[in-house]
Amino acid sequence: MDLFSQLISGFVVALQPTNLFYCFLGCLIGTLVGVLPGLGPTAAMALLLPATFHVAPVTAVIMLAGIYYGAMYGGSTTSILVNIPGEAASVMTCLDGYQMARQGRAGAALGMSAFASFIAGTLGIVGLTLMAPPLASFALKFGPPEYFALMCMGMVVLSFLTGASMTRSLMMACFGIIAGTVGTDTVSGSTRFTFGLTELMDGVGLVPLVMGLFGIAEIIHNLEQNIERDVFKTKVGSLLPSLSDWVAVRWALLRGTVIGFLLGILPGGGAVLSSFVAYAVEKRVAKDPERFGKGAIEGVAAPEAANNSAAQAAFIPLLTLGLPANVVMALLLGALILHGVTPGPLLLTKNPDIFWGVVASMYLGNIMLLVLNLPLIGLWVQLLRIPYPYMMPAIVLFCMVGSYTVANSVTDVYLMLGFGVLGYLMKKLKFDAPPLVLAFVLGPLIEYYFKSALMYSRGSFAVFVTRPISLACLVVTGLILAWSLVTAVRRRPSLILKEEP
Amino acid sequence: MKRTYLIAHTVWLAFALAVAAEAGRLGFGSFSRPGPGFLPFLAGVVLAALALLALVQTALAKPAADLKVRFRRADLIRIGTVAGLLFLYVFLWEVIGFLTATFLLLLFLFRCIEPLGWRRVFTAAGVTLAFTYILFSVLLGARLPTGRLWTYFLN
Repeated sequence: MDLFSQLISGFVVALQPTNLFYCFLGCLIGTLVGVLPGLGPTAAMALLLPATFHVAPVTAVIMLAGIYYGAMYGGSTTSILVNIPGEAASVMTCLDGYQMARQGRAGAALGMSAFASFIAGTLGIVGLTLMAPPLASFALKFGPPEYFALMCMGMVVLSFLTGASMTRSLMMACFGIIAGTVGTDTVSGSTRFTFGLTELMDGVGLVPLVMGLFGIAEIIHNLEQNIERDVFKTKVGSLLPSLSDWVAVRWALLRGTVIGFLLGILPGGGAVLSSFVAYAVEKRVAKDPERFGKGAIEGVAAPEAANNSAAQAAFIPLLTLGLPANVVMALLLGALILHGVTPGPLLLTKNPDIFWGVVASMYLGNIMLLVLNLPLIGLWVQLLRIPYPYMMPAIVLFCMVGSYTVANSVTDVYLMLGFGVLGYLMKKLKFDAPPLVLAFVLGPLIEYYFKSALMYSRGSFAVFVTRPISLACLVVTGLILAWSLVTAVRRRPSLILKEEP
Repeated sequence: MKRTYLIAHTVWLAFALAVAAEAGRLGFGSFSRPGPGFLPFLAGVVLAALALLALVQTALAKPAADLKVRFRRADLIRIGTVAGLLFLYVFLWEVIGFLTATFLLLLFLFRCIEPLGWRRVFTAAGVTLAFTYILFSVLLGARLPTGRLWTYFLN
């Protein structure tokens, strides 16, 4: 089948009433968590993961993906109207979006944000549609050594790109690997770090871990500060940007889309980094950079285009290589595995309905999000007025019940609370959670591919360095590690603590 | 601040060494035939090395004067109380059941985190509990704990 026929078959799957409903639900929840600060897309996806167990894998992924890219849309609303980013990828939108709102151009900022998200998101999906099949065909040549090396590289690159300190990010990755080994070893059958608890024989659950680190930790952190939302009170006005606005942003939009797409594919890139880079690039190329931070519409269009394009591009390594590029993709990888589906190059041939169904649903989801974010803007503004003290107990309760319902296990809830306290301490001391989660998901896979590669080579390590792709990935991994180590050792000790913000 | 980091890195170092020791007991195997303790041992050793590096760097660093105190006593007490209460709440699920324990927790959270009037507290707690129960138990079919106490009385 050619690309077009496959895409049509994907639309047949995505347009089934159940899938259409779950796509809409995912987009709606995504917009909601994007709009409301306090619960990001990662925690929301973990919270709703158990709710997808009774539906088909394709339906589950359609909904979870919808939450992710929906949050990218919703986050900008809070940034523009409240000057608080609804989620991390919308931080840069605050700078000029809020200033536009203060100048009476809230409608134009919200409209441009939604249109930029839609255009970049759709172009991102076109890129995914075109790039994924050839990449998956190429990845069919990969064996266990390549996967082992690729996953090591992904983990190290993510640790390198996220967070202030590579040492602390790598420490978190090691802790994630250790947490991932808890439970029964599938090869030898022996139990590891279970302390005699039968509840831990199946290992630490992904949902309690993610919900604790991202949901409960955020709530505990918020207890320290009074969250007051000063929603901008002036009229939102027309949501349609003027012709001069469109002319002003045309190149910013395109650059943001390309930057987002390229960074989205890379491990560790993702929506947050791409929005920062896109904003920085726009400021650099602008003839009058002093406008930025004072209500420049390019400062809204570029980061919004970048984060949405990156959100779609991040699906490429996940669906074609089985390699999550960021923490949300790691969660989706875990969700697919829980549903009995192994993401990777064989997904396209073994489960084309899942691959093309999810891709087609993204096209539909983007249209739904445009509808949700423009005509319904008044609803989101009203939601922003709900006081945080009313929402916090509900979020706590949802996290706890959601964690319990995965396996009807109280141990999972205790674990989630433990990870919540740990996540709070990590947040305070600037230890990053994303490398931990990625390593937790990839750890067992790395172990599996490492052992498989050695079995394949009858115990010879040469298998990792005689195959070009594996060698290249390991060289990159080694170079990053060596560079980080040298930088860490040579850094003047007196600077280390001062760098902590 | 420096002290906080010294404590944190020491805790990570101790944890990593404990993991490496336990992984060694599980069986490292060999590089060509890895045992069940292989990966956790390597992860533990690398974590220990990184924690040691961070510890030494922190110990050698001059404390920066411009740093704010990160952990305020009042915040720690509030956070400790809420975290402790949440652990107690989960423990109570199996004793007095999900519904009763949740209602009590919600009363506490609505009343104590950001004080609301009692009428609002009861209304908000009731609505939140009803919504959660309908969503998880009725619509998603989750079996929420009923509690030993009620089982004992009803039988």
